[in-house]
Amino acid sequence: MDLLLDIASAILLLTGGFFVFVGGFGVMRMPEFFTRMHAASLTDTGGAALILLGLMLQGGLTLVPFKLAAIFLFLFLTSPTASYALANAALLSGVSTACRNETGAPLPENEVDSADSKPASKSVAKTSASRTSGRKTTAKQAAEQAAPKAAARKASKKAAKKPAGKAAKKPARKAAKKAAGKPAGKKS
Amino acid sequence: MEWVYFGTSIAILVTMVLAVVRGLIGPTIFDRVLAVNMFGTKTVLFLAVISFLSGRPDFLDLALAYALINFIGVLAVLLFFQSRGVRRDAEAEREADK
Repeated sequence: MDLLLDIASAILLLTGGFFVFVGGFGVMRMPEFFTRMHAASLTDTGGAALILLGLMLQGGLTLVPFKLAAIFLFLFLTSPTASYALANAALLSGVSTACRNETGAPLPENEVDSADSKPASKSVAKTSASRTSGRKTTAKQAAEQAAPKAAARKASKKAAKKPAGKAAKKPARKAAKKAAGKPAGKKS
Repeated sequence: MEWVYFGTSIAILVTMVLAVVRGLIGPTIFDRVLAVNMFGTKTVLFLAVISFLSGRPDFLDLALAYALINFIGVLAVLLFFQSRGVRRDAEAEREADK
């Protein structure tokens, strides 16, 4: 019985370690932000569940499996919440979801650098315009180009699904009012 | 069983190193937040495995506390950056109106 438990927990632990490693590798190698989030959530679900279950089998009848179960429950409540908040914040500030441009060539990197003073919705204009003209557009021009597009996108997003986030509601409503005359871009 | 714990902790450590590298080179701020979140989750798992490797189950309390702190920290940082992105969009609209 002991041997059986050992074998089962060894299998669970090693599989969990493999999942964790693959997820870490994916976070390094994936081309853009949302695919990286996918890889990271692999380690949060598969890796954490397998490792914690494997440790629970080794705990015996003490307090240890209950503590591990508490960690398990807590991780499984919080990591989807954190992932949702992260994706929501990234989508709101305009991280590009494209990893290939129109011709099918892979983009080198995501161009949104939120750490500096550049406007966030620049990437829409940047991938099409300034990749050919070699970064001649200043930040202000890019913002002027991108702002109507961003407003239309926000309006269509608002129309598509009603329960938007609390922080998004006010600017989205304003943008929807403003972009009512313009043709809304893509309606999913 | 020791070698199993050892292998698992090595895998978790390698992943933590990869997460730190992604946090250092990540092009957007959200890549960095993702890397920090992942690093924290892996720290929880690492503490759990280490508590079995060294035979000291007290470490599990540390893991639990670390999970709590990690979650709150990530949410706080995200709220900060999310409101900053929305505010910047509003400023860009105001610029475009002029």
